[in-house]
Amino acid sequence: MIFIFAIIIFLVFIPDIAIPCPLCQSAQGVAPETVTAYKSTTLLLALLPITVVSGLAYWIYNKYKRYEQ
Amino acid sequence: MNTTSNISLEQTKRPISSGLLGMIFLLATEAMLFAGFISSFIVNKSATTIWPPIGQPRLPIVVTLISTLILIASGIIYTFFARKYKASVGNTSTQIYLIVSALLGAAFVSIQGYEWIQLLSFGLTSRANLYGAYFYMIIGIHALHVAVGLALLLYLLFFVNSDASVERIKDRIVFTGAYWYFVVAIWPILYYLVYLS
Repeated sequence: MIFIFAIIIFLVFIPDIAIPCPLCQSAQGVAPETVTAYKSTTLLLALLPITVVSGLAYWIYNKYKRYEQ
Repeated sequence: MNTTSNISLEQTKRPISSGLLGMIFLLATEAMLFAGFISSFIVNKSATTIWPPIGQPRLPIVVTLISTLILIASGIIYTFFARKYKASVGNTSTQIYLIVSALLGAAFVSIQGYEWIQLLSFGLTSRANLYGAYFYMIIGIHALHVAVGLALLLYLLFFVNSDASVERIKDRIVFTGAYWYFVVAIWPILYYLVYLS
C-alpha cells in the first residue's frame, strides 16, 4: 500500500520537477533556432549514454551467450 | 612454463578480451566527450545571428574534404589489413596495409596542421571569439585523438613484427581498430557541423 502510494506521489510530482529544466528555462524568450538547439542537444546528451550503455550490455550478453553455447 | 601456457590458454578462451572491453569503455566516454562539445557548439552557434562572425576567415571546405576522404581511406585500408592478417594466419607481409593506413592518418594530421597555420596567420585564434574557440577546441581534440591513434598504429606495427603470439596480435588488431574506426567515424560529423553547417 505504501509502495503504491509512493508511486502515485512520484508520478504526480515528477512532471513538476521536469518542467523547470534549466536548459529549457534558458531557452525561454530567445530565437526558435536556439530553442530547437537546446531541445535537440538535451535529447542527444540524454539518449546517448542510455544507448551506449544498453548497447554495450546487449553486446556483452550476446558474446557470453554464444560462448556458453 | 606450464603455468604460463595455462594462463595464456585461459585468456584466449575468454569471450571478450580485457583489452577490447577497456577500449570500448574508453570509446563510450569519448563519445560523451564529443557529444558534450558538439552540443555546446550547436547551442552557442544557434544563439549567434551571423556565423562565422564578420571579419573572420572562412574555413577551407575543399581542402578539408580531401583530408576527410584521406582519413576515411585510412580506415578502409585498416580493414583490409585486419582481414588479410586474419585470413593469412599471421603473415607479416600484410603489414604494408597497416603502414599505408598510418601514413594516410599522418597525412590527415599534416593537412590539419597546415590548415591551422594558415588560419592563425589570417587572425583566427582560440581567443579571438567563440568561433575560433570552438574551432580549435573541437578540431584540436579530434586531431589529438588522431595523433594517439597514429601512435597506436605504430605500436601495432612493432607488435606485429615482435615474437608475440598470433592470438595476442589479433586481439590488439581488434581494439586498435576499434579506436581508429571511432576516430575516422566521428570526423565526418565534425566536418559537417564545424565546416559545412
